[in-house]
Amino acid sequence: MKLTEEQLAEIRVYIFGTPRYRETYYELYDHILNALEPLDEPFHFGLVQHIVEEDFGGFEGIVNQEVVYQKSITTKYNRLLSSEMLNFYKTSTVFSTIALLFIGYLFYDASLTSEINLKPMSVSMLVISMVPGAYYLFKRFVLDRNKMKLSIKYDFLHRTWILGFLIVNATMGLFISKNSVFEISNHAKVVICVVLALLLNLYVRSFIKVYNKRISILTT
Amino acid sequence: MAISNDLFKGTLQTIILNLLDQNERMYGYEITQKVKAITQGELLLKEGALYPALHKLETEGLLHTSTEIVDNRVRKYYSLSKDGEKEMINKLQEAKDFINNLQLLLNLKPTLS
Repeated sequence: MKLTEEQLAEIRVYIFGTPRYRETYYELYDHILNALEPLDEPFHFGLVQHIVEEDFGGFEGIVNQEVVYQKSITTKYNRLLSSEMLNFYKTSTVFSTIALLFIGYLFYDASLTSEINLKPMSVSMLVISMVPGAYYLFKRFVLDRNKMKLSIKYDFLHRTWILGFLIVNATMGLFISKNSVFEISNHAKVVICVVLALLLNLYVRSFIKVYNKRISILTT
Repeated sequence: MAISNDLFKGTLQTIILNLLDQNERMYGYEITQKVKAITQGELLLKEGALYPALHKLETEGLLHTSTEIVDNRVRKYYSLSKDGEKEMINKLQEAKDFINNLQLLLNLKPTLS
């Protein structure tokens, strides 16, 4: 059967509210149209309802499938991020890691003999911890601004940048800032700052790599 | 006689990987129709089982996905990745071994002592 624009719109409206992510929505819409096209009978809406019920177990089945898919996608990207972080010793990144370790050591060494002002370092770490957030917001509100639904990859981007940002902020609030919860020596603050800066660097670089390699190029 | 879908549950991934090996790239509905055509309607691959299996294979890195606009709608195509090609060979061998063993088991006749 050949569907009119009006009938297509009717189908889109019917299914639009159910899937949360556009990957599921596109696949569902394409499937329904593919299933309708070979039919010889005239279009009536019961056919669409029948396809959704029969093939997908109704809207509930679609939502359940989507939850499983979303979890596995997030787990996959988390694994990719972790493996990128653990690859810091690889040739392509080892020199910058060594340079950072050396800078960290210089800070530590200087803190043994003199007082170090940690404010510039803290502020730059807070700014750097927002880089993944900037990527996420750029992707979601600039690159994908015309897309009707969220991508399933957004969950990973959103959670990851929030988590990184929270960890940096919490560490600052607990140990580094002027009114921190725990009173520790300036020397210990320097150590925490240097370790945090190194981890943050690894995390942000890995995030950007995963984003560039796997997320920004995805077409849906 | 229609074949019970329970018998196919364990081999769904093998079927998908093998079809994709033979057809380069396919979309979900196409896979269901191909299975229906090959088995002459004996096996109906339900979408409720197919899509989760495709998504699982995709997240395991065994399938690549790409999208294309076809008739003004987005269509998602699945194809085998390098790992998927290797896995297909393993799974196919596994299935063949299973079928051989099953045949042996089903052909066994009780012995009279």
